[in-house]
Amino acid sequence: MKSGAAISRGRPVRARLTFRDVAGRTHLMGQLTPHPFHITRPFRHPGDPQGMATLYLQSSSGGLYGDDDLGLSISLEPGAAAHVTTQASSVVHDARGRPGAVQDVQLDVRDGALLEYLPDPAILMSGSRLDNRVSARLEQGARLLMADAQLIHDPDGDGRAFDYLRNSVSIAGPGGPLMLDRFALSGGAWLTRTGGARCAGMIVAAGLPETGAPMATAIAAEPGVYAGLSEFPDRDISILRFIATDGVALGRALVTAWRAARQSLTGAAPHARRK
Amino acid sequence: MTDLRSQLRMLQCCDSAFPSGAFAFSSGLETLVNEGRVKSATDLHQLLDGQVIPRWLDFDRPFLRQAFASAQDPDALYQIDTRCHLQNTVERLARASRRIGRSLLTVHARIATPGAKAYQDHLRANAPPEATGYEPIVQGMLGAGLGLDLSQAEVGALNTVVTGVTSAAVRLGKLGALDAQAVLAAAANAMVAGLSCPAPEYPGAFAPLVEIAAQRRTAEQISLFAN
Repeated sequence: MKSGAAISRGRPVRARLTFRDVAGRTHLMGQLTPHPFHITRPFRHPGDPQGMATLYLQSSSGGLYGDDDLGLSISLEPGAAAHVTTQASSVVHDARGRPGAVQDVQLDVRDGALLEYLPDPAILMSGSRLDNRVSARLEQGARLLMADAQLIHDPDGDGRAFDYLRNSVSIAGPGGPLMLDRFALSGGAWLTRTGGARCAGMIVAAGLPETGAPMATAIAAEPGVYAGLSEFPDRDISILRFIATDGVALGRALVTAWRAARQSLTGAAPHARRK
Repeated sequence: MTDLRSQLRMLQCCDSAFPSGAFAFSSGLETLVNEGRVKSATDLHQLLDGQVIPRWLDFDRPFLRQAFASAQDPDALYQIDTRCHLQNTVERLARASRRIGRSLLTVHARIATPGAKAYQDHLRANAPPEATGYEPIVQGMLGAGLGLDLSQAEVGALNTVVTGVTSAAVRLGKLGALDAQAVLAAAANAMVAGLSCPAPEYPGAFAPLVEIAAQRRTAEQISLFAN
């Protein structure tokens, strides 16, 4: 399976969000959110890291379609702190013969900034095609906690899998590339590769060495979740990889890991993000 | 056409007596056995077909091929090795790959396999101490040095992985010697099918079950294998 650079015939849509620290509080200072991107207003929660803004991403189109070419750039200026999540999972619809959806997310975290980029999982419907790319660039002292997860769904119950998933997560630091996790998979191979689990994903923590072990410990107690932690102290990166039996277990795993990471970061459990 | 001498050298390198260091690793199998996820020859066969072989085909194989094509250029090999390092996002599998690569380089430098000493010297002079050569990069370079054709280098490397995991199952007491041979014979179908397909353009694998298993053992657990 080739990993084509530009496979979508749809009109490219590019969204952009810029967060800036102003006197100790992070504000959304720039936003460009053309259809289908939509955002809520920023929230603040007590107990969050200093000045953190929380923003929910929404879609006004009901998911990703077979000719979508969507790009999202999130920039945090020096010292800013933001929690960016989604209102719900992104449904990747049956491509119905179209070339497949492209979703390209770029995270730019500058000096001393903290970004929690925790979107809900992508739901890969029967026949769907998705080229998902997340690339992060971290400046000195930047911190990033990010999730990337998928689950499969066969609404007709006829065993028809998604068509393909091409997935790439890359992180670069001030000195160059730090990691690249990439795969290309036909839908028919999913259950074999996961040992029968319908959900899989990972949480990556960069510049947050205190978070890896607590996340792994917390998630280990979740029923229906099978997880393992890789730590790379030379690059200050931890990768918590997991599979889950169903969407409920996956959702709990993501929340549990995030809460554990936050607890280790601030000493307090975070305020729940209602969805 | 590969000559008989090269074929003999490949058999020598793939023999279980060859000191590659691979015997110390189970690729996550020990955890899966201890957790009751692999209990029988059938389970092991499914693990090989569904996880171990596809992971090698999707991840190690493209790196091996790149190294094979650059075997005469230590600097190019090191660049491939660095890319392999960045993409090895499962820490214990990465560590195992490096330890096997180091052992292979050491042994082949000692027995004067063409290219081995040059790459070992290049790493010592230009790379950080922990960068001792990842397994597929060293295997690709050595395959060219031994005069194998690319297909033979691939067959030898994949066979090493599959026999290594199967041997680990025997040592873990989950498989008898005869059952192990039956599993190997059956796994040959998936190996042939995979090797008959074009290699992926880019390395990248999705085999979360074995990747997670390789990471799950804690330091307190007494284990036969290093992963």
